[in-house]
Amino acid sequence: MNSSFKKCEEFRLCCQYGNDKFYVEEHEENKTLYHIIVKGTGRVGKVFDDKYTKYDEKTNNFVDLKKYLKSDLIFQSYTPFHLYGFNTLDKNQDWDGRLVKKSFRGDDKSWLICFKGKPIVNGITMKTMDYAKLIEKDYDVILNEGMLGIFTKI
Amino acid sequence: MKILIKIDKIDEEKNLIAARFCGWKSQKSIDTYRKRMISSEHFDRSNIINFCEDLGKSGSREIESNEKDLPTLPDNDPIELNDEMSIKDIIDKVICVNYPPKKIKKLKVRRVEL
Repeated sequence: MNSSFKKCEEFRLCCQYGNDKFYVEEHEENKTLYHIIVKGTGRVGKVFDDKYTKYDEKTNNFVDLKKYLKSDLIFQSYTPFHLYGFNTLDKNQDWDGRLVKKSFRGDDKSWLICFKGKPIVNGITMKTMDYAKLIEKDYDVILNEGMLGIFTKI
Repeated sequence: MKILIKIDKIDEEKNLIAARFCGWKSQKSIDTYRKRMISSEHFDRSNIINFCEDLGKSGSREIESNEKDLPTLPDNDPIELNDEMSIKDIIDKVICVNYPPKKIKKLKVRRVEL
């Protein structure tokens, strides 16, 4: 599995891709609030727990991992995968995240991140791993089959 | 990458090893390299191969620092890589990367104004 990380101003982004079947993350390291799946299928859950969350690139591609923050996690992929993680810098700092489906009104507590494709926002074509700090104004979105996430500090 | 090790002394009480390290294909005698003190406190002692591999892991850092002092042949001088380059830009050029690759890589991101 290939992993890469980048600390941005108020959050950290990570990326994992590969063919590995299993991947374990210890809770001390785990500050991932959301997983964004751009390729592959699999599941995630607490180690030794029979409950888990399924994910895949089409139907459940934006996975809320907050309930797992204090747990050791195991990921199992069924197919080669490519996913991104949105991580808080501090476990006490919560964020609200969602995928953008249409034009929206921004605020100064939010960041927009492009995870896939070339969506156009306010006339600007974004590419994968472009991100922007939002302000209080309208954002006109043409998704172009891209994947945009919006994350707001709570 | 393979490395060569020559142990000079082992202090079992303090878990210290004095050894010299060099690259497998070094053109200088290993005896000409500086002796280094390595802590063997956390080494795997279950067999000699694991022990030596742990010693090599510590020593590989020494080889890196030895190599940094060596001049680069003019023909091998690498170009500076930058994010704007495409794969075509590096054809027929000497490039320099970390080997073995870093386990944790830097994710390339770009902040844009919308």
